[in-house]
Amino acid sequence: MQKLRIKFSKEGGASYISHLDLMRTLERSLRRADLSLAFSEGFNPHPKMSFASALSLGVKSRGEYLDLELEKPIDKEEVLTRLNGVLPEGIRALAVEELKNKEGAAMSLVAAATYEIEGKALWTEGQWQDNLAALLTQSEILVEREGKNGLREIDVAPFLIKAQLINLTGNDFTLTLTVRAGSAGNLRPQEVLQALEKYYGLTLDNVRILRTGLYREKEGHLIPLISSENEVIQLRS
Amino acid sequence: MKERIEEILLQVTKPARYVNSEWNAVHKEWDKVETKVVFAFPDVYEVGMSHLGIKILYHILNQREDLVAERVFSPWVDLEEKLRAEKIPLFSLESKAPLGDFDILAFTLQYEMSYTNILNILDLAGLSLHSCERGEDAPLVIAGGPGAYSPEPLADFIDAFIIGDGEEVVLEFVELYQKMKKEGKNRKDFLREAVKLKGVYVPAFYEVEYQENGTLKEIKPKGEAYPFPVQRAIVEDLDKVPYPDNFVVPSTEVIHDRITLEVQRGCSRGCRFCQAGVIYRPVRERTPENLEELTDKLIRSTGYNEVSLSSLSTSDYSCLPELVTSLLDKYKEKRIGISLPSLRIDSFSVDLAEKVQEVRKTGLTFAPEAGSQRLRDVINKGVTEENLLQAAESAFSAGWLKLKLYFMIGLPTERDEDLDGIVDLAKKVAALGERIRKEKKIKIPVRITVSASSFVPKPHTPFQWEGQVPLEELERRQKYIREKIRSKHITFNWHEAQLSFLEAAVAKGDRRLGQAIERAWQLGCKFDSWNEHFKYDKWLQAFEEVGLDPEFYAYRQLNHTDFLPWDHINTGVSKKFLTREHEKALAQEKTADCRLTAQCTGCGICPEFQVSTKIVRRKDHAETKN
Repeated sequence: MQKLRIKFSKEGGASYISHLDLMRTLERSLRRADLSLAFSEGFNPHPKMSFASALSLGVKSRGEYLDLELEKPIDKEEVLTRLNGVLPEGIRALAVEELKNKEGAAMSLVAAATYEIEGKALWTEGQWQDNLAALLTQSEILVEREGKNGLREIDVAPFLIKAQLINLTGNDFTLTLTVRAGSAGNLRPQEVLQALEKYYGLTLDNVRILRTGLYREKEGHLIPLISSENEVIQLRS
Repeated sequence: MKERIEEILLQVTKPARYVNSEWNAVHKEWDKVETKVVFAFPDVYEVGMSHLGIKILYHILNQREDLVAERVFSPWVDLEEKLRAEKIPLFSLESKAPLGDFDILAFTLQYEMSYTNILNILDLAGLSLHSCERGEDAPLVIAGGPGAYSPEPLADFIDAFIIGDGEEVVLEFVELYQKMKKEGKNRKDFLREAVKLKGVYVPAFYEVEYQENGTLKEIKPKGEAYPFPVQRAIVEDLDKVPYPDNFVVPSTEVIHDRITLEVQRGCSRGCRFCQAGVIYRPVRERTPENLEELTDKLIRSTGYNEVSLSSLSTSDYSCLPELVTSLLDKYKEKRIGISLPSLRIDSFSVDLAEKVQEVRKTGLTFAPEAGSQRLRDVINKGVTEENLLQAAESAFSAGWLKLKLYFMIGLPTERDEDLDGIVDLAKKVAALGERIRKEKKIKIPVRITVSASSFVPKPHTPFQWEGQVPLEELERRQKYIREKIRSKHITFNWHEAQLSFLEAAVAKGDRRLGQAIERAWQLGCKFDSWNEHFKYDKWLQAFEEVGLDPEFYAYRQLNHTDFLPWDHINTGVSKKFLTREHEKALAQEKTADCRLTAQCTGCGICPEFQVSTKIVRRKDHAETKN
C-alpha cells in the first residue's frame, strides 16, 4: 500500500468542471494511467481518493491536492509522467509526494488558501491601497452567503489574512488574497470582492479568479500541503 | 469570440456541457483540413453523448487526415437566451466554430419529438430553415438515424437523408462531396451524383401527390435518374467496419456514462410494434475475439469502469456467457463492471445478470409489453406468464428486491381484460417476491415498478397501418390501471399521452407535416420530450394554423393497399411480409424467430440485399455436440 498526495492544476476548459465531475474525471484519468488504485469494500467499491478542498465552478487553480492510495508502490516521477500523459486539457499533475501512514487527509489539514484575482475597476492605486488596508483592519466584515436555509449574513473578518494589490495597469488590476479555508472557517474570494463593493463602492468587470495554493498551519506559519515546497506565509500576529 | 463564449459559459448551468476539454475529443488545425463535418444531436449534451451512432461516425471520419468531424448539441435554454441576446451563432464543441463555417451539418434523428430542436439548431446557426432557401455557401444539411426511414416530415429542411448503416456510406458520401467540390460542381450536381449511393435520399428530387380527400396518392421521382424505391445502406459484416477504439470521455455525467460495446446489430424476434426490429435486420453478430480486443483498447483509452454489452436483445448474442465470463475475469481486479442492458425474460438471463452483479449492483428490468397471453401473441412477444414468474423467482432468490416491468398500453386489439392482465401480473410478481424475501428473512419489502408507455404505430412495422387509440381513451386506460394496481409494493408510472399522440402524428406524417413542425417551433416549441418544456396547446395551435389535423395522421386506420408516406424507402423487409404479419397479429398467430428455428419467415431482407444473418455460434451446433 502506498499513500500519495498529488498537487495539480485546473485551468482552461477544466475550470468549468464541477467538483463532482472532477472526481469522476480524475478517477478515469488514474485508471488510464494504469495505476493500481486501492478500493473501498462493499457493493459499490470506489477508489480510495480524496480532495483537499472543493473549488467553485469557474475558478481556476494551480494548487489543488488529491490524496490517493495505491495497491502497489510506484516511483513518484513515474506517477507524474503517466498522469500527465492521460489528463484532459487544463488539468496537470504538478508535484507528488509519498505520505507517511499517520499523515492526516489533506482535507483535514487545510487551513488557508491563496488567490490571485484579475479584473477591471476604476480605482486608482491610492484608492486600492487605502481601501484594502481599511478592509484588513475592520473588526467586522459582513457578507451574504448562500446556505442550506437560504441567504444569511456572516462575519468573515476573522478569515481574511492578507489582501494586496500587486499590479495596476490602467484599469486592469491584479490582487492577491490569503484567506482561511477548511473546517475551521472559510472565506471565498468572491466574498472579499463583495465586501469591497459593499463597504468601499468598488465596481468590477471581467473578474477572473485563480487559486494559487492551499496551506496547512504549523507553529504560526502557513506551509504548503506538500513539504517539498518550501514557501512559507507568516500569519498576522 | 472564443473569449466571449468563455465568459458566457460561466453564467449558464452545467457549463461542462459546452467545453472542449473532454478526453479523446479530436482537435485538428482548422485550416489544414479540407472538409469539415459537424454532427448535431438535437437534444442536450447528456442525452446526445449517450448515443452510439455519433461516436462511430465521429471516429470513422476523424481517422481521415483531410477531414475533421466535430460535435454540437442543443444548447440548454439558458445558453440559447444568451446566444440570441448577444447574436453569437451556435458553435461546435471542439473548435468553437460557427456551424455555418462547416461543409456538412449532419443531424441524427432518434425520436420524432426532437424535430423542433433541429429547426432551432438551424436557426441558432443563422441558417435558413428551408433547404431551397439555403445557398451554396451554407453547409450541406444532412440527416441519418432511425427517423430517416420516414423522412417526409423533415423533407423541406434537410438536403439529403442517409438511410441505414452509416459506417461505409458516410465516407463514400463525403469523398464524393470532396471530388465534386474540387471539380467546381454546384450543390445540385453533387446531390444528383450522391443519390447513386445506396442509402441516399434527396427529397427535392421527388414529388408528392395527394388524393382529393387529402390522403397521399404517391411519391415519385422527378426523373429516371433518381432511384425508386430508395434502398437503405447496409453493412454486411460488422467485424469488417471500424468501431471506435476510443470514446470521447465527457467531463460531466451523461446518461449512459460507460463504454458501449455493440455486440450485434439487429433483432429477429419479430415483435410487431418494433421498428428497430425491422430496420436493423438481419442480425449480425461481432465475434467475441473482436469484442474482447475492442474492450481492452476502450478500457485503456477511456478509463471507464463499466462496459455495457449493448444491442437490441443482448440475451440472444450467441457467445454471451463465454464473453461475460471472460470479461469479468479479466477486469475483476480493476473493479470494472459489466452491464447487460436488454435482457430477455428467462432464468438464463437472470443467472447472467447475477453473475455480473458480483462487481456492481444495479436494477433488473423485464419487458413483458402486454398483460395477457392473447395480446402478447398479437404483438408476437414470445414470453409467457410462466417465463416471467420463473425469471422473477430467480431474481428474488438471487437477492434482488426491486424489479421493473415495462408494458405498453393502447396496443391493437387491447381490451380492459388485457389491462387487468397487467395489474394481475404485477401483483403476482410482487406476491412472489414478498414470499421469497420473507422465507429468506429479509426485512426490506420488495418494490415493483410498473411502467406503461403508450403504443405509437411506427412506419415499416406490421402495425404501421394501425391507428393510435384516441388520447382520451389512452388516458382512461392509464387511470384504469392506476386505480386497480394500488399496492404498497407497486409503483405505477405512465407516459404523457399527449406526447405519444403527437409522436404518432409526426411518425406517420407526410411531407405536409413539416409545416406543423415549423409553426410549432415558431410558437416556441422545443425540447418537447422534456416535461417542463412540452407545450401541447402550442402544438395543437400549430396544426390548426397550417390547416392540418393531428388526429388524421395519428388515429386513421390505413389500408394495406394505401401508398404510405414512407413507401418510397426500402428497408429490405417487404411490404408483403409486413401485411402478412399484420394479418397474423389480428388472428393472434405467432411467428417464430428465424435465428432460433433456422426457418425463413420470408421477411425478404436476405435475398433483397444479398446479405445473411451472421451468428458466430449456432445454438443447434452446441446442442448436437452434447
